[in-house]
Amino acid sequence: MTQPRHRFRDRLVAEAVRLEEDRLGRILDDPAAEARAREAGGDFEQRILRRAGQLPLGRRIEASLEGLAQVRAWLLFALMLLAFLAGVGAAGAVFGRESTVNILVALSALLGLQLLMLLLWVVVSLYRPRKGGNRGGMLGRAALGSLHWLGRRFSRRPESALVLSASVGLMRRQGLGRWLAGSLTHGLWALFSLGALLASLFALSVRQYDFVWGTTLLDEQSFVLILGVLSAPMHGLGWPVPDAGLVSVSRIGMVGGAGREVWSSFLLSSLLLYGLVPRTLLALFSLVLARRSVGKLRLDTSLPGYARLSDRLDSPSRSMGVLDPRPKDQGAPVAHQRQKPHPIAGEVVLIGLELERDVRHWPPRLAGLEWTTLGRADERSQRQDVIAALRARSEAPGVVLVVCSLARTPDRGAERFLSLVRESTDAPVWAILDEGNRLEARGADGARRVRQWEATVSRAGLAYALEVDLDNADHPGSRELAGLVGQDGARP
Amino acid sequence: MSRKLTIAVVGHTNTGKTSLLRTLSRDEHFGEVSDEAATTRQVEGIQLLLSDGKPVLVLLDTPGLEDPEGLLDALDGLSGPERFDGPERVRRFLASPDADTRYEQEAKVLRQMLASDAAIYVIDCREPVLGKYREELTILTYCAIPVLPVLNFVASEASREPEWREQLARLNLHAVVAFDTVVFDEGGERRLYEKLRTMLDAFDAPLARLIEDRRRQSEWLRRAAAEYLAELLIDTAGGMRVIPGETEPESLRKRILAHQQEVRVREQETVDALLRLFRFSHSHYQHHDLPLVNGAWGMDLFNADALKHYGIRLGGGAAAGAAAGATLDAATLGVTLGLGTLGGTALGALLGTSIPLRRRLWDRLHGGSEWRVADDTLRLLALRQFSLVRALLRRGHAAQTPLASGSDPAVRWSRGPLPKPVREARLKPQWSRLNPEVFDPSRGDRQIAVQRLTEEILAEFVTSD
Repeated sequence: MTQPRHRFRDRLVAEAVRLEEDRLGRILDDPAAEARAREAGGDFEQRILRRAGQLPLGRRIEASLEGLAQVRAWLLFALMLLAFLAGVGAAGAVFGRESTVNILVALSALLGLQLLMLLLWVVVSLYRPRKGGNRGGMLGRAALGSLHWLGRRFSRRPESALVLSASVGLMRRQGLGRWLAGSLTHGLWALFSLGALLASLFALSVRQYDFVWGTTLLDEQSFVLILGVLSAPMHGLGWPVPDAGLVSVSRIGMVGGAGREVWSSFLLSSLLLYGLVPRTLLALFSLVLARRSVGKLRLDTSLPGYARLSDRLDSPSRSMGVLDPRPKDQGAPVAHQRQKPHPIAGEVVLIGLELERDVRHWPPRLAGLEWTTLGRADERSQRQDVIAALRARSEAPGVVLVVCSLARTPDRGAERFLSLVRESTDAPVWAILDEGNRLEARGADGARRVRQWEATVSRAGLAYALEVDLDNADHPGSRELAGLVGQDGARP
Repeated sequence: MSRKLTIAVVGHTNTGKTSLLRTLSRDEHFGEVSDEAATTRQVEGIQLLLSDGKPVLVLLDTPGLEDPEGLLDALDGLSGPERFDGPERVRRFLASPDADTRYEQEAKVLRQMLASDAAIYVIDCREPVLGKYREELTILTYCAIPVLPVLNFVASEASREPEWREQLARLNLHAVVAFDTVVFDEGGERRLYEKLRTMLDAFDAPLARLIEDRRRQSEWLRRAAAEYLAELLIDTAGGMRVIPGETEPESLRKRILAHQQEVRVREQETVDALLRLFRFSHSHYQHHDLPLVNGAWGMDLFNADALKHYGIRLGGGAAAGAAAGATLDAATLGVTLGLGTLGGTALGALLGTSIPLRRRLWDRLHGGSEWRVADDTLRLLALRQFSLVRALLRRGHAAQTPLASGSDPAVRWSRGPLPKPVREARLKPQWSRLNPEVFDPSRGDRQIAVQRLTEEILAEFVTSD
């Protein structure tokens, strides 16, 4: 039973913390509280509650809640006593010194006002049952308001003001305030009725009254009608009710003291049926609904004040760390002496490795350069063919150029192929780094990729790597290539 | 089912495996990302959590496959007394010395594949469909678990998505998802999980929960972002400075500049909050005074060029003010005079405020003035934040480039009357955090205005998607 109440309190603390953070315009940094909230798990709201409770401010708020609860309990008690005494007083006014009691006056004094208020409450509740933020009877609302006001007076701590604002905020949610105020309204009226009933019972027990009625404007018929309607429920219950005969003899000026027992019983049962019972039932009903609202109450975690916490308290993922460590590095890469080679005469053999260029543009044509192609090495079988063709040569060519694409990320597969080419021929093997423009079209860092390829080429043991644009004879790399392997006539 | 669904994220080196994990996990600090081979060389795991904190899915980041040709040779070269199937072949390979030496990196991948329920094969779809990729897919089929190819970089101009889809279909891989790890797409993420769902019957329920949870999360995120913007606009609209009439021009100028600075700080706060909300660290941006210096966010809020950039024509108030000589000089552009030039507003402000009324009346009668941010500046503020949120909604957690501004201004905000809650806030200094002496955050009317504005902003996010 205490579980939901406890939760409400946590939410109140969280709301109060949020209000304070809203006012400050910043989050109260407390990594320890955040860590504890994360560890505790649960959904985002639960973590918020946990964090708020762990903050020093949250603790102070909880402490002030204790004090406020006491103040409130006393105030509530005073209010209840007041309501009860008011009932007693009202009855006292009706059953005063005089020994004749005017039935109409007695009924309206004891029931008139509260029936009117009940009617008003029903109308208001039916009128806007959903939208009503703080509704729940004027009396209850006034009582809640004064509880807050007095709470503020009695407790001078700043936390109390926060708690009160927070509770006002929470009251707006889920119709909680409406049902709480409702239960207070009906409860106080029930106490009023109880006081009136007990006082009337006492007065009627120890003294003798004559019941009379009188009217100037109404005729007797309508009075009988009103009485008939009012007494219908008692009649249904088999309780004694005044009949038409008794009504006519009780009129002022007629014989006094007629049907005392019937009249007093009617008066008491009216108080019971129109005062105490409905108010008690409504109070219980409101209380049940208020409890249900408390149970359904959740923090509105989309409020900026809470959303700000999401990256501290909530995470859509949790790293599990390294499950299988990185392999040991196989020693430092062998540093090959790579310096600009001398110009080479003789046959130039070309191999294309994983190029993007169309087969129609293979082998590439560059003015002043002539080469023999061994084909493209894009597929496993093609690679095998290229290596076989290289090995099958009776005499080594002047140089073997492996054209690589800068658009590729150099990987160990490429490195292995380059090594294989180097092992398969006695001729020097150079890497020609082409298609840099395609890499740049992707917005990547060209110079960085060239360095990566140079490192790979060096690990593969190749003699030289050169960045060239094979479609552009004016590219500096192309000119350098022409200078190194071009036929005599074409040398610049 | 106690075992969590485990998915190995595999692929060739440098295709964006770690990036995919960053984006799916919303954790921009997961692993290490760079444009070169073998950035990730260890196996690292991350759990995806539901909003109740319960793990639902384990993703394993694996090193890239680098030499599939050699690996395939090694696998196919294995022979034994009896015929064996794919998984058995992989197991034997893992027991062989090659698995500890030459192919140690690849062996790590295969080991995780055997221990996983499914694999996501990440493809850089800017690459042509080379033989090595087909060889990798062949190797993956040896492990006999469902493989879902994910096409990364589909948003790139160099994307070869149709080519890849055709080739994958030839390899009998018909379930393919396009998901750019840099340009985030909520729908793409959902399709990814949906595809996994159809492939993994046994894990239908947890995946359905994950999909629903991510959908709710994204709705929540939008709402929270909209609320931040609403708060910023309400604060800025209501922020004002009362300046007594006999103030020296130099002092007036100083006070106006101070007010401008407050507005800037408030905007920066919102930017920081938004970045945190979307889980992007602001360490990259922190050292700049102004919100996100790259692109248009770098422009000062009170700069005429910034207005132009967002298609806001300098009109009405500012022009009239300038004509009437109400503005001091260019520095005061963006702040408007309360009384006289904008009579209605000023009167309303006078009536609807709790700044000590007597003092304000006194100031007014003695030629004092109230200064507040101009309508056009408010528009600029709104549009700037809109495009920031829009950029953040579309930003994967693997994105490495700085934020660039979108150039699709919300037309309704660049022209026409400002939304009603903003206009209302104009008259309510007590709604604004910029007026700390009267600010009251618990006021019901302010909360209602913030809520209404939030709805309007949310609608703006929806139409812009």
